[in-house]
Amino acid sequence: MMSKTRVSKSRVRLVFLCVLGALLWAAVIVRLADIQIVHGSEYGRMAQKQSTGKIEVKADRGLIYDRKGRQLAINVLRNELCGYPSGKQEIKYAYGYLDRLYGRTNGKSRRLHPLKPERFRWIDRNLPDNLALRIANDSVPGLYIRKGMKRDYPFGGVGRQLLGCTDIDGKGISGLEFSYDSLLAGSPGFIDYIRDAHRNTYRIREIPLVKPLAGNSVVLTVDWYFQEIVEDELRAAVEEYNALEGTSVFVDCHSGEILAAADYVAGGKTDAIKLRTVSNTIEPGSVFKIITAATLLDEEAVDLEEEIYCEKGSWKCGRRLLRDDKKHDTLTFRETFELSSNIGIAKLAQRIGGEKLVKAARRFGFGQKTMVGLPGEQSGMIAEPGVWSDYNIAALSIGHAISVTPLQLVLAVAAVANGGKLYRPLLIKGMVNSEGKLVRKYTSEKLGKVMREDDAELLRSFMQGVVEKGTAMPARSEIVSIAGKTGTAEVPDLERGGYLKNKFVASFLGFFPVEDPRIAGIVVLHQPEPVHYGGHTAGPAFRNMAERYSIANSDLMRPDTRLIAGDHGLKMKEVPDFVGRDVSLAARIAEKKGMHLVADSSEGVVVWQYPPEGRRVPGSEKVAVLVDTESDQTVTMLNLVGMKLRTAAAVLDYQGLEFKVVGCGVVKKQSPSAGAMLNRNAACRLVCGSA
Amino acid sequence: MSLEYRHIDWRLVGAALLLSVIGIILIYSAQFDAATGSSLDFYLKQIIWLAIALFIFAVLIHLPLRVIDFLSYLIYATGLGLLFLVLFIGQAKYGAARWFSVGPINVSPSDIAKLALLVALSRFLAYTKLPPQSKRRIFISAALAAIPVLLILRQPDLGTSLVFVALLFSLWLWSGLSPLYMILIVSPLVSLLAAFHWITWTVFLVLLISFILILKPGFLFSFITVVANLGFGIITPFFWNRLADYQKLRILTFLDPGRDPRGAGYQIIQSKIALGSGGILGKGYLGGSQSQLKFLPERHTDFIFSVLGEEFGFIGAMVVVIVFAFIFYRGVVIASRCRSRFASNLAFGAVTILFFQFLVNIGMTLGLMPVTGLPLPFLSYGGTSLVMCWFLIGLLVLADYYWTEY
Repeated sequence: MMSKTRVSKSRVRLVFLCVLGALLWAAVIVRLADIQIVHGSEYGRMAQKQSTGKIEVKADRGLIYDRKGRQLAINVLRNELCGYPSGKQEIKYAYGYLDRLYGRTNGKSRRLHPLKPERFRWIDRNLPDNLALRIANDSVPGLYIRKGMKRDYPFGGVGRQLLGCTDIDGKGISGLEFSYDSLLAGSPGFIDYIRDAHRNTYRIREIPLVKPLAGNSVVLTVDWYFQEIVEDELRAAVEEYNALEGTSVFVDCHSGEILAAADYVAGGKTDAIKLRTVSNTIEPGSVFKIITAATLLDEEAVDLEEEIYCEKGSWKCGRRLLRDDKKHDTLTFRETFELSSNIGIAKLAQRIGGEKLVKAARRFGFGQKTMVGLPGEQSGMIAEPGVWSDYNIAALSIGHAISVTPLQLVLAVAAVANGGKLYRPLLIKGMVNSEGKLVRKYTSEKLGKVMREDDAELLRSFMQGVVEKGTAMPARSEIVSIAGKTGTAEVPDLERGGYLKNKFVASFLGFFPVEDPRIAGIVVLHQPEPVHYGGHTAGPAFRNMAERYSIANSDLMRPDTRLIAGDHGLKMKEVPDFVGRDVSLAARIAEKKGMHLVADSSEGVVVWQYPPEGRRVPGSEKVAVLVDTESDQTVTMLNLVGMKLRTAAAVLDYQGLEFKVVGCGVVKKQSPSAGAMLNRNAACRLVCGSA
Repeated sequence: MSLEYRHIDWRLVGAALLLSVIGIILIYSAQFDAATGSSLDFYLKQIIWLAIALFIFAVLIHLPLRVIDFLSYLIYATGLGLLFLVLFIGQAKYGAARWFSVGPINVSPSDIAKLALLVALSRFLAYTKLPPQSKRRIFISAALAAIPVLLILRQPDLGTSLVFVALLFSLWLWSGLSPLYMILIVSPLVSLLAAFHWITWTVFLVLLISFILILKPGFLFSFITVVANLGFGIITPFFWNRLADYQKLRILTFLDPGRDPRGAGYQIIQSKIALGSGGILGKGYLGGSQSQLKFLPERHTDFIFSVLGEEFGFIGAMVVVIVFAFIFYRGVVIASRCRSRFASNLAFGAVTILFFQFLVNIGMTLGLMPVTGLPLPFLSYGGTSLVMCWFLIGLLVLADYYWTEY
């Protein structure tokens, strides 16, 4: 039997134990709520983080094109060999396999590629195809082959200073690959995957959640054909004239677009990273007389008839002696320029003074960076003494006491060539996205008018004289008319001051063709031996470049070279727009222009013409026009005799006629004869010969 | 004597059955393989085990309670025998020999030993004439518990041996031992833990001595307590070095789970991530990334509760926790109204075993307790554990059925 106290005692115990139990139970619930409700999202993120991941999908790097659409930098597939061994056994086997594969001595692979279990490591990121195939066939445990992208430059070494290069991961490290890396690279995409505790991964979807965005392609202003010519000729010049190095750059006179830029260091030690055209400065010497002459003309400080006494080759200017290479007596301004008399120019420069010369030099863009967007660009410097002595003025006028980059000189002479407009240099024409759409267009920027049109024309004739009968006669070409100025500057002695004896920088700065200046450029040769005159070294190199490029672009050639015959052949004319006009009116306009219009009917409205509107042709060239006919079935044969084959072919092509051609040049005979009505798809025959 | 089914506590049986079914559903999810679209056969084995457990339960409730009473020391002896045997012919896993393989099934004798100690202790404490505070009574009952505890520590399995200690303490309290004595008896264990840091231990010792001086529980008892505390405090470093490496690691990791996120702490971190990421509503059945992607370790056994929490959220976890609470509540009600001291002890001991395992297992998944490897009653995969739990339910049903008997 239980007593009353025992009952009450047991009740106390019961309550005590129940409360203890309930408290512990409640603690579990509180903790559960804390983890699941209060910190739920936090743990949710942790679960997400450890069970999901992202694989990066590399974006295709943008290509680099030249102005004609040639691919300069492209992406090609490559094999990448990597190691991911699971254990020591696999590592040992892999080392043995690699030794055999590469034909190495035993154990060499172990030193070259320290593999560790469960660790990823690249072994060879540019594995030749035959080895890749062998490894794939042998399926070595622990060795894997991935497909990767490699940058390739189809033109090899041509223009590599401009293009630069990328590292093994496809990131630009020099040249344009570096400066435009952010645009070329694009942005990577991602594929989601889930991962379990044993590091197995499962793709949720193969298609990337975030698609990779291919990089934009860059279109350069450079013409790679010209670039190749310039590099080739520059190398030839450096070797032929025993120069230490050479630099050359060419721009389009009417836009500042860079067409070619190259360096060559003797022995092929060309710096792959810097382009000397912008990163090295030179003392220009006589080529700077272009600027001095332009200033003299601008200031109207000289009369063209005036005779300047050139002191027979030696003039005491202040306390120093100024010399000419040849002893001249009296020369006109033009002769002074053409024969490059230091004394003549220096004497004339005294009339305008140093400050005006400096101002002019700045106006032409010297002393400032051109902002072309190439790494390492220099601004150059103009020495400005507090008090201008006669000698200071003389020195500047003949291109000393000033440092410039070759590109600055070319842009200045381009201004002379185009009638006085200074342009900012342009290297990039535009950006094209991966779908081939133009996303950005860079237009040429005119920095200002630096000289009057008539002064520029006069100065151009001076520069033509330099080549025709002055110091640059070796630069004269039968194929393309060149104008320019030579320079033969002494090399400053950087250690002792003054100038080095018998060390010269030879240069030729010019433009072509003279009739319608299109391209300006410079060739600079450092310390050519033994011939050191710019006119005899850089000049011929410039000529060779201009000639070779002109042959491929016949509109640059001398009209007399280009056109074998024709009375009106010397003058180039623009073809007017005939389309939409009445034939009789078109014929009158053509007659006024001195062109021959060939039409298939004497009445009606012109619907087609060749050459197209705006093309520059010799005045004597025949222009074909076709009139709107009601008939779909028949066409009228034009009188093609005397027409250029190209024009004749364009006509027949438009009319839908088949044709066969014998010979080339100008059409001599045609069958059927003019005026014949033909069915479309009929065949005709042309016999051509030289005009 | 035929059983009157309407007097059976069907709500208790229903709650246990609900938990068992939830367990099978969770085991299916825990071993589900998304690649093959099916689960490993653990859930099938558990279904078979549930059938066996229910059969044993059915047999048990048809026995009169007196039979258990009569056989209690025999059961105890059998349990000890099995424990002794497993040390020699048991199967080892994780450095611990814990079960026999009988054909295709594994039998864990420590689960049987829990039942053995329960009946033996219940019987001894029910029929002894010694007063609750008597030293002989304390000593004998402690000795009954100490034999299985030592055998299990030999395996070694610290977690399971704690179940026996908990059972002993709870039945002491239930059968009238003053909580004061309990505190003094437990104090050497606290000393053991406190001794890792000598200032803490000194403070604890000072507190203990002041406690004894105020309450004056008798000279001998006080003396033994103080000596035991001093002794444990001094031998702790020695004792620590005797622990197996994984036991040390578990205790250290419990104290700071972040110290080894890839090793032992990994389990607790992953369990908390699973529970936490389940949030309120859960990720849905078979939808838990932690369990399906195998981040959760031992997910069909020790960490089955984390699978529940991840896939069914706080709501699902609460359902299970409340069903458990109902079982405990029913158990305590039964224990307190039984007129027979033996039946009352049996019922309270059964509740203690279930509650202790519930607390330690869920506490472990929640990062409140060290990783001990105690399964969650009814839910965790494991045949012997399931049978043992159903046997306890059977004892509760019997105690309830015969509550009027003395």
